[in-house]
Amino acid sequence: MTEAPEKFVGGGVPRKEDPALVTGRANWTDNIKLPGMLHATMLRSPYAHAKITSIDASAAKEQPGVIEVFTGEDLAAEYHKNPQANPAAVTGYDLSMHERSQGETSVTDTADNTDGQPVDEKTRTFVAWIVHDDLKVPHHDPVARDEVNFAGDIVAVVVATDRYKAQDALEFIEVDYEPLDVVTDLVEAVASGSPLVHEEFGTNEAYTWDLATGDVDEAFREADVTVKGRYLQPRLIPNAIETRGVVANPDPVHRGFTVYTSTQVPHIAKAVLSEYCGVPEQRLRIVAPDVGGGFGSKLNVYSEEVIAIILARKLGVPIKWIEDRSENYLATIHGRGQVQDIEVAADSQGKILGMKVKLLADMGAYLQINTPGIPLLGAFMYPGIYTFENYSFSCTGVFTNKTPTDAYRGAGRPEAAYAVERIMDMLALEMRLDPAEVRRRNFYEPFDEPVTTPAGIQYDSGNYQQTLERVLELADYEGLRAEQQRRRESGDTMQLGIGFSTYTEICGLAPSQVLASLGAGGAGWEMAKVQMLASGKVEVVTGTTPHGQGHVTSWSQIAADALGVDVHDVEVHHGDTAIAPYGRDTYGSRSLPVGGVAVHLASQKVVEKA
Amino acid sequence: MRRIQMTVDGSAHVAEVEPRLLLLHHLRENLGIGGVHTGCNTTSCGACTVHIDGESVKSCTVLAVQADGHEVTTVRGIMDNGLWHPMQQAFHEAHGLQCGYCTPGMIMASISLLKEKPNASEEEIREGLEGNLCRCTGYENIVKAVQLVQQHSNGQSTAQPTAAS
Repeated sequence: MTEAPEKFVGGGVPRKEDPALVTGRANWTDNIKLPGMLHATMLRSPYAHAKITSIDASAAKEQPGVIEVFTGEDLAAEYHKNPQANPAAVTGYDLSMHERSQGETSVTDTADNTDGQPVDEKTRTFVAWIVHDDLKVPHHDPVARDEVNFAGDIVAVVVATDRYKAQDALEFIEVDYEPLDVVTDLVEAVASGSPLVHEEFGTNEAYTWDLATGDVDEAFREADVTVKGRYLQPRLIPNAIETRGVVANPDPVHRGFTVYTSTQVPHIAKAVLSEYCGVPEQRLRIVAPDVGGGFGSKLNVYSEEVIAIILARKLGVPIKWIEDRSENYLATIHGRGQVQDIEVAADSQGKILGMKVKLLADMGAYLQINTPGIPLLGAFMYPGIYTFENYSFSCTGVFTNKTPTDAYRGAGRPEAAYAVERIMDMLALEMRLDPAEVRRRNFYEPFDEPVTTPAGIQYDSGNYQQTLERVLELADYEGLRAEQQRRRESGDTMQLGIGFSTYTEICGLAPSQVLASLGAGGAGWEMAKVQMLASGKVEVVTGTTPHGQGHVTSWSQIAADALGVDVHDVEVHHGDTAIAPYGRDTYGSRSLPVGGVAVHLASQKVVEKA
Repeated sequence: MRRIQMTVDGSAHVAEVEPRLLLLHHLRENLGIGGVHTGCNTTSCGACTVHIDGESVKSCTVLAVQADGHEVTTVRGIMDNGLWHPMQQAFHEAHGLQCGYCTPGMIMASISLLKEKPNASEEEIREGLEGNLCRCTGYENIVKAVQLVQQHSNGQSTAQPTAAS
């Protein structure tokens, strides 16, 4: 063992992940090849909304290399026949709220699926974040049956001996569609007479969620100045450079499956896929191998993972599906998608008295794991670092005939920062105040005891004035303004723009007041196991699942410091539910503040025992 | 089917392939080289970059039959007797990677770039690598890694100073 420096944390340790990555020896999902493995490809709807009137796969089945072609009807009996219908029940989210939203649903059935009975039509969904008692949860078949609801919805699956042949055969499947009216615009979707994504709900509104503190109407009545704006948050495509992919391998010994999947959340996937596929949780092993980025798009459980497992079960061989880039645009979740209406009331000095926020948030065609919860993370951030007494927030989730939305970098919170900073500029303009000054007047006084924000959460300490003054000094704000003025007067072809933005974020998702208020009180914990081995080496098992963050190095640093060993004598395991049976995975900047701290605490327990 | 022969990372390989098979898929599926990565299959991202006869090319842009008779080098073939290539070392030292999926393509494109322009300026490095995408957006350190190799090689051969950014 080499002599350890005083501290590895903060010591700039070269990454332990790199040797495999720079030499082309990493283990990506698409690198996994198993004996007898077959390849699946998906036929996807070109229509955003249509009835499927017929599917003829007979010609496709005759193509070279094709083993079988499955339609939605063919697979209808393959899913869990009576699931808890309820990813919320198995992911630590609030069960009771979900049961109320689902009405009469049996939760007593075991996870066996042996008699091939049709599933309960009303209960198949991926959504695990039931944000409201009245949340409308659309039925979501992995392979669509009667109706497709977005361009990219799967309508048939080909299984063949190689990927080229599986792709070729898609061309031979004949599907007759009867196109239906489509709604893609959020404002149109909530107007009366709009086409409906899910006819059975009688509305495109999935839910409305409110938060209010103080008396915002009174604040607006008393105000000297009010400003309002409507801001649009366009959708975006997360576009991880490694697309999604899955290999499901039947395990002949345990009668279960090992599933390799490019995911941020093997533990959540295990719980949800067990319910969806009717494979007992204890017989499902999920492995996230090396994962090429996620950005929230792999914080999810997808139809293709379900399909791979049920086909591996049906055919008794490993099934691989690798998403191509075009599919990634259509079938992996999108981010953002909001219409933001924000209003601020202020007194004659530009001091904010109240703020009203009203959102329309695009759900897309179905609810994925976190879809309804994402815009609500913003509810707590619209006040930013500005202090006032009266606040109201209301968000309506809206179904559209588009790819489902879900988490993407910051997830709901950057959207809030954008809107609040825009409206602060509008207030500055209206009051003819410098944009720095209007912010300065609304900051909290410097504090080192927790303050409660208008959204009802606490900030533990802050000195925003000092930060702002330092920024203005570093940027030579006065000088920039003078230069801007000079260019305007001279009509310079290169003009100068100066923008201001503050940013505060709730993150590091752990058991908290905010998660509890959003119906996810059981979520957010993390696991670490630290073990001294007979050889003197240290084994760390973490429930976090890196996909570029470098946890292997960082967790080694933490354990090495706590135990007084060299960083290279620590081995970190992650991303395999057989090795790390418990964990809450990696998203929302939570891995270090929750998982890294768990490694530190577990290491300290080892020291105490020694 | 066409019979083709190529040298890959120093080993000769003969194969029967469909004329439409992409070189990328030949390397990955037939030769089992998992260090060449599929990012887009459409020549957009550069994750599959390899060298053909020493020149960098996106292997999803080339049919396997077009590489018949040529010498292909992947990120697995640039080490010297088990020692990392200076570009591999520089990516490691400069923290030029996060998830690492774009990295083999970045390394191969960077080697090719410095072969053509050993003293490329920062701007020329950025331009030279514009066909390779990093979705972790780690471009700053990727550029620094390339500059690190310039510094090392300049230190050894010429007196040309290269400013670190």
